[in-house]
This record gives sequence, C-alpha cells and structure tokens, in this order.
Amino acid sequence: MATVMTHFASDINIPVDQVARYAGIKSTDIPSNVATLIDKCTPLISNAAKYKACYLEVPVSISGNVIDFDCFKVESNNLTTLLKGCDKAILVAATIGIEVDMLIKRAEVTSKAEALILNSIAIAGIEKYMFILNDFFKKQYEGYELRPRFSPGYGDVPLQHQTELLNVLDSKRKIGVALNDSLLMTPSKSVTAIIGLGKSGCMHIDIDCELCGKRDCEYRLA
Amino acid sequence: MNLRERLKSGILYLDGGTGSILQELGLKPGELPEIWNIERAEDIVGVAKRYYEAGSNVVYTNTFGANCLKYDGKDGRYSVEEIVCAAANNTRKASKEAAGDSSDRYVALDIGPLGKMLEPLGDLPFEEAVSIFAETVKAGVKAGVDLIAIETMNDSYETKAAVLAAKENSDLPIIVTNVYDEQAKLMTGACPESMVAMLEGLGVDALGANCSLGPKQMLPIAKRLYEATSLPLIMKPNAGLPKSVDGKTVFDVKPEEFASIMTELVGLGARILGGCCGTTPEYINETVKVTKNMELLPVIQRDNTVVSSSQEAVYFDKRPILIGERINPTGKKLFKEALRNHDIGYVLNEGIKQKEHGAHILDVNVGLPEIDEPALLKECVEELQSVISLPLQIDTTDIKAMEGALRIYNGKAMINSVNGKEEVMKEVFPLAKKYGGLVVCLTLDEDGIPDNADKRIEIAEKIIKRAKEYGIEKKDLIFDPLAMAVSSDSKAAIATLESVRRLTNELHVKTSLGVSNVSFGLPNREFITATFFTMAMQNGLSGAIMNPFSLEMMKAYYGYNALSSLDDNCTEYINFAGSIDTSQSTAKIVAKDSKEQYEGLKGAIIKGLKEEAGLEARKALETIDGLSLINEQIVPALDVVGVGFENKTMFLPQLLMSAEAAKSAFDEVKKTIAQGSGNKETVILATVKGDIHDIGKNIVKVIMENYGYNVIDLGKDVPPEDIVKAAIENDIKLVGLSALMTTTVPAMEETIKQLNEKKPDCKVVVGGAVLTQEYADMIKASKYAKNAMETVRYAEELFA
Repeated sequence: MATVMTHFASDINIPVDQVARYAGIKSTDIPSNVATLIDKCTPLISNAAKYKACYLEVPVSISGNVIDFDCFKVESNNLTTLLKGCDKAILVAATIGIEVDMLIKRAEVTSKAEALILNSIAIAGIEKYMFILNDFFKKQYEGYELRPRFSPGYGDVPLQHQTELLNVLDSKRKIGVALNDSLLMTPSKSVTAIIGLGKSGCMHIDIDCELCGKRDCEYRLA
Repeated sequence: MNLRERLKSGILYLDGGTGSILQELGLKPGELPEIWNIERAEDIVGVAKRYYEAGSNVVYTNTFGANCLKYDGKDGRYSVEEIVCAAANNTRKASKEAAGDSSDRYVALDIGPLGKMLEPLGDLPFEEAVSIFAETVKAGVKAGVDLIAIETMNDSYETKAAVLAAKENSDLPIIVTNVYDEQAKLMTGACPESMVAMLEGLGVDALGANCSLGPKQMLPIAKRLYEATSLPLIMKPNAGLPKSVDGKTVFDVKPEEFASIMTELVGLGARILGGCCGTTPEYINETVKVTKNMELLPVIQRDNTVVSSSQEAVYFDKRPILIGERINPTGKKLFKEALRNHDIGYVLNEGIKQKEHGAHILDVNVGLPEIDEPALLKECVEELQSVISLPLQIDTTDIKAMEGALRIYNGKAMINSVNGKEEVMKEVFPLAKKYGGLVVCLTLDEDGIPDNADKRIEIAEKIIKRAKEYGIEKKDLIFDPLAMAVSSDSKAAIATLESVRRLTNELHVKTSLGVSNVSFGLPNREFITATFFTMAMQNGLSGAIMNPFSLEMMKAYYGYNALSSLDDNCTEYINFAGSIDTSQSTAKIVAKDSKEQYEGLKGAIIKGLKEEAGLEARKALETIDGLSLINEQIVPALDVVGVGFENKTMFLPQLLMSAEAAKSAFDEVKKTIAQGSGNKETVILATVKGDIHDIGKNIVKVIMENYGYNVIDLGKDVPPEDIVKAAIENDIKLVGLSALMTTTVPAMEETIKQLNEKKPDCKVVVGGAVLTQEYADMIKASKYAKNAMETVRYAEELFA
C-alpha cells in the first residue's frame, strides 16, 4: 500500500466574490464599505495561512452498498453511486492552518465585523485550495477521471467516518489536523475528502451541491 | 558517568525512523504500530537491534502513540502499561543482544503528541493532557527506561504538558525535540528562541528538532537553537521529502548525502544526532562514520535574560523593554467593574490595545478583594495567551493564584514578584524553579524600603544568594529598586537612579521599574514620569512597567532609542512620529438609502464607520444630552440598517459594522451619563457543549447589545448544567443557544430539556448552521431564529 504524501501551497489568490458569498452578501454588488474591509483583511489571512494537505491513494472495492477502502469500510448509497466504476480513490485532508484560527479569535475581541470577514476569507481560501489540489490530482492521475469530492457528513455517510479517515492519513502529525470529541476539526478551516478515480463512464457533476440532500442550504449553488 | 553527564560529553547517536520500516514489514495506514510490541515483538526487537548495531547509543521505544486515549485497557484493548512495558523490554533486549559493546547504550521512552489539540484552540484541557502523559511516563519508569524522549511536538503548549508530566513523575533525564517548518516555526507559531526559553525554564536536559524537514532545511534552525541554548543540541531530521515512484514511497535524500549534511549540523553545534521519517539504520551508520571524530562546538552557558510566549521570545538586552501596566484594576473604575462582571473581553481588549501601542510584555494583575483571584487569573492568562503573542508578567501576591497561572502559562513568564523577605522568597522561588520564569525582585525586606542605594544593593545581593540556593541563576532575576514619589522626598528619584546604575554596573543584573510611582502627588504626572523614564534608561534600566497609551512615555522611549544608537536609521522613531495624528477632523459623511440621505452620526453608523461614529457622537454631545442622542440618532440609524437587513438590501457584514459603529457612539454617551443606561432585559447566550465555533453566537450578542439587552455570554462548549444554573441565578426569561454541527444538537436538546424542568418560564431561542425549523421543533425549542435580527425581533416580542 502507498504511503501518505503531503502537499503545500502558498500565495493562494482568494476570489472576492466567494468571500462576499460566505459573508452573507446576497447581491452581485459588494457594498463599498464591505469591499474595503475585505481588502484590509485579505493580507492578514495570507500572512497567517499555511495551506497543507496530506493524501493517500487507496483501492476501492464495492459490494452492495459497502465500500471497502482496505483500511476502512463505509456503508452508503450516495457514495456507492459516486464511486461506481472507480478502482481506487484518494483520501485527503487539507487545512489553512491553526494561525488563522488564532487570528479570527483575536478579531472576535476587537471587531466582530472583521472576524466575520476573516472567517469568510479563510473559508474561501480553503475551498480554493481544494480546487488547486483537485487540479494537482488530475495531473498526478492522468488517464483517470476524478469524481467530485465527498466527505463524511455528506449525504448518508455518517460524520463518524471522519475519525477513521483522519487516522489513516495520520493527519495530526502530517498537517496538524485533529478531531475533537464532537468530530469537529481543528484547525477549524480544514476539509476532508474522498475523491474517486474512475477510468470511464464517469458521471459529470460540476457542482458538489447537487449531491447533497440539504435543499434549503443558504450556500447552495444553483 | 551518569546519563545526564553523558548527554553533555561527546557526540551521542539516536535512532532513525521506524514507521517506514514497519510498513515494509506489513503495517497498514491507520493500524496502531504500538500493538506490534506485543503481537510482533520479534520484529520490534529486530529493528531496535539493527539501530544499536548501526551505532545508535539511544534507541526509542516503539511507544510514539502509546497513551491512554488509544490504549485504555478496556473491551479487549491493551493498556498503556502493557504496551509500554512490552516496548521497553523489546528495546532493552535488543540493546543486550545487538552485536558490539553494550555499555554505552540506552533505552528512551518515546513520547509523541496525543493526536488532539489542546484548549483553547482544541478541546483537550491542559491538565488532562498532563495526566494522559503522566500515565505513559509512570509506565515507562516502572518498565525501567533510562531516559524520556519527548518528540515530534508541533505545539509548544502540548510540549509543556508532556515535560511537566515527565518532571512530576520521574527523575529521569528528559530530551525534547519539536517540529519546525521552513519558516522555523512550530505549527502553533513558536520559534526556536521561544522554545529554548520555555524548555530551559522547565529544566529539560537536551533539546532540538525532529521530523518534517530534511537535514538541509534544518541548518538554519540548528544555528538559531544553538545560539540561544545552554543545553546540548539534538538534530533528528527526515531523509528529505517523500516521493512516490512507481507506487513505492522513496525519500529524496540518500544515506551518504544525509550523513554529509549531518556533519554541517555538527558544525553548527548539534551533538546528539539521529534520523526521523524515511531514515534507516544505514543512515545512522553513515552518519556515525563521518561524524564520530568531529570536533564538537562547546555547550555554552548563555547569559540571556529572556521570557517567552507561545510565539515569541523577548530578550532583556540593550534596548529597554516596555511592560504594559494597563491590565490592573488599581485606580481604574471601568476595569474593576469589568472584573466583577467577569467581562474577559474587556481584559483582552486592554491587552490587544497595549500591543498595538508598542508594549513588549503585558503585566497581568486581576487582584480585587471580592473575587476568586486564582480562578480569574488563570482564566485571564489562558484567554490572553490565546489571542496575544506577547509574553505575560504574572502579577499577584496570592501564591496559589501565581502557581495556577504559571502552570498553565504557555511559555516562560515574568513573575511579579519576590522581595528580600524570607517568607516571600521561600514561597516564590520553588515555583520559579519548577515552571521557569524571570523573577522580578523588589529591593525591600522586613524593614521596609531603604531610602538609600547602598541598602537596596545589599538586599539585592541577599536575593541573588538565596535564589542560587534554589537553583535559580542570576540571569533569571530582574531587579526593581523601587521608584518612590519625588513629591514627598526630593531625593527619592536620585536614590532609585543610583540603584539602577549600580545594579547594572556592579552586580551585572537586569533592572526594571514601575516608573509612574515617581510622579505620585504631582500635577500632569506624565511629564515627570517620562523624564524620569528617560533618566532611568540612561542609567541602564532594562525594562519599565508603564502605560503604553501615554504619548509622553512613548516619546521618551522612541527618542531614547534613536539617540542611543538602538534604532537603526531612526526607523522606528520615524514610524512612531509619523503615526501621531494631531488633527481630528472628519470629512462629511453621507449615507444614502433609496429614500433618504443621512448625515453626521446617523450617516456614520449606517455606513459602519467606527471611529467616525465615536467622533461624531463626541461632537454631538457638546450640544445635546446622551439619552436624546440615543433616541434621536443612534437607535433610528440602527433601525435603518436592521430593516435593510430584513429586506435584503443590506447584509450581515454591514449589520455588524453598523453595530460596532453604534457601540463606539454608545461608549461616548456612557462617558457622559451615569451607569445603567442599558435597562432592558437580561438574556443568556451560549454555544452548547461540544461545540467550539462561536462566531454566530458572537454576532447575535453584539446585535442584541446594540438593541439594549444585557447579555450574559457563557461562551462556547458550555455544559447544560451551567446554562441552567446561570438562568436560575439571574432569573432569566430568554436563553439563546447556538450549535454548528449535527453532532452537537443533542447537547442543545439536553439543555432545553433541563431548562424546561428547572426554569420552565424561560424561553429558548436556537440557531446555528445545522438548525432548521424541523430540528428546532424536534428538540422543543421555543423559537428558531434564522439570524441575529430574528433573535432581536423575537426578544422584542417576548418582552413587549
């Protein structure tokens, strides 16, 4: 079996429209005072951010609605559908780093508005990093088609699998991502994913949201 | 020679990686390697043997993750003691069976991180971490290991917990290595110098770095560690970075290259060498071959007077150090009020502002007769160190409070204070020895404060001597010869200045002064204080406890540095001078919505301009009274924003910015009218147990406060019992609960259940990312509020 590998990134360009979306701006025009605040806060996040990821390639075998990744098993209809035709998958955990949490915590004391914007920039940042990782995996696995990323807690996959996933990735040691007793990750801006690698017959889904059952989500795309 | 001496004399070799070797032997990702100590003992003995034969003097037991979180001895799982005992036996067996002379071989109890984040960023309490590590240490001692190796620690706080556990449960030598990244920082931000300060303070026997980087990237880290430390330096790098080649993992630095860079590390001061991920016995063997006859740099006793925080080290050297005095209730009405109301946010804000004004260290004093000082001091230190990177000075006469704070302090603190009284030294010095610290020594004794320098020097000499008996060196003492009021004794300042000079030149110790005492009883005190400060600096003062908000004091400080060649190209002075803005005019502010145009204070609030709102309010208060200002301008402006938010023409960030602008206007009003302007109802807000995300709750808080509600903020991760207790004690009619994850909704349900039982007249409004109307109904909440404004509207309805 392969070993857990790491990936680092810096200078990620964070899209302002996404920041505004996460901050609750439901309009294409960003109010000028908010735009000013975003401009002020973006370099703070850039300085504090340390984008890191660790990932592991695992085999996939499916029987019924049970997916066996060799190191752990998941029972799920959603994930079975998603991984159909995949003989392997990438397990990945990524984070923007703990210093961002400290920065947001400090802003909570001095300005809640700033804290909200910093929080939104950080979310947009880690999401952008996930796209960068996706491109990286596309290059690494030429000839494969990457399925949309899926995480424990999505659809019918219990959040409890987060424990096994992070354990297999040795994420605390590799990139500093730990779980608390309520299965929340620290640093708080961290993401895990299972990305199926399929040879053919891959379903084309551009937006993860379509897979999700939460129809009334504030952030649902399209 | 005992092992402690051995660590300091000559080169010593540690082992290399085991993870990749065990993987080759069949260990799967996610499988617990420590189980192999029992189930595949021969393999573990075999790996250790190969290391001893390759030249390792010290081999670590296979116990990196052996803690009682993973090995609790329940449901068929092994216990920590079983694992550690088997591991120690395996390694000891290998040391005896391995070919060659076994006389210089040792077994180290390996202790790695716990895999959880400590509070406040994570959910593991510091003391719990100490007790988990303690279990492993006790098992190691019982199993007869020779030393304790704490390794791969990427958080300074967790490192401290492990070292304390080792110290409190054994007399064995302790060696510590941390994980630095290429910016020479730990994951939680510590630098080499701050780690050295903390670890030397805690009394470890050797320190250094392991994992994460290859040997080449460790060169600058080794240099900085060696230049800072008085202890033997350990370097245990990876074999470079892992790469995947044809499905197999390979590391990019080969044994010969590794060994050759290890010689460079020795050249920079390393003398305890090993390898981490990707290294094998071959790497160690090569390293031994090329380094064993090298000349080593000496272990130097550094004479640094230094304190540290979780992020930085502050050295008392030529440049005077500014110790901010504002976190202290003495003579401060608002501060006292904040402490009584348990308003930690106020304390944090004072801390952050002082840092922004240029303080290097923060004094923390929360002593008030009517409060539980040990509990409050501990809480303030915990909170301050989680948001501010400056080292802290623990300022208390309550010895229990002092120990509690020093114990949970994430670094090496300044300790304020001892004096020449025997009973005080007897209490404080043992704490300084155990936890590390720079001790402020006041030159007074049983006979009071001497009026002349001779006697003060005498007391200082006595303190130095006594400290030495407790094992505390002169460099860890800083003397405060006490500034006295010049208004009552015209020679007071001269005596103090002479003491500063003689302490510096004759006793070669560092000095610090609470400078503002000198001007007591005089008008425009800052003028005198600042001049005295300048004179004291000229006489060698190393640090001052002072008010960083005082422009006169900051002028004196920057001016002194510029004139004393302590500020290259006067850069800092120029920045400081340029930042002093003497004009306070604002351009006309106009805010528009579709129908109306707003100017002045209303405009500033609607546009969310914090400073301008404060200025406008101050201006307006010259002509109208506070209550009218609130009713005629502040509240109507907030309503414009509130309605805009509800109509989706304005959004959350704007709502918050306006709320903050309104708050700064409120603060101005508060200065002009008596206490108790907020006479609306009191409500409780809390993020439920298990949930550590509180941004949503904090947003609701600021908006509710804006609408005049008194908010008791119980914080995050709050147990149901605490919420019920607070609700009963304050006879609360409305509690707001927030939860982010589905996993914490049950805690919310439990809280509501308990509230319904014990405080049935109390309504509960719930919100948070996962909450929906259905969820809220299911857990029997009184109301589901989608956002902060809905919460306010519900409260208005309820209390109408």
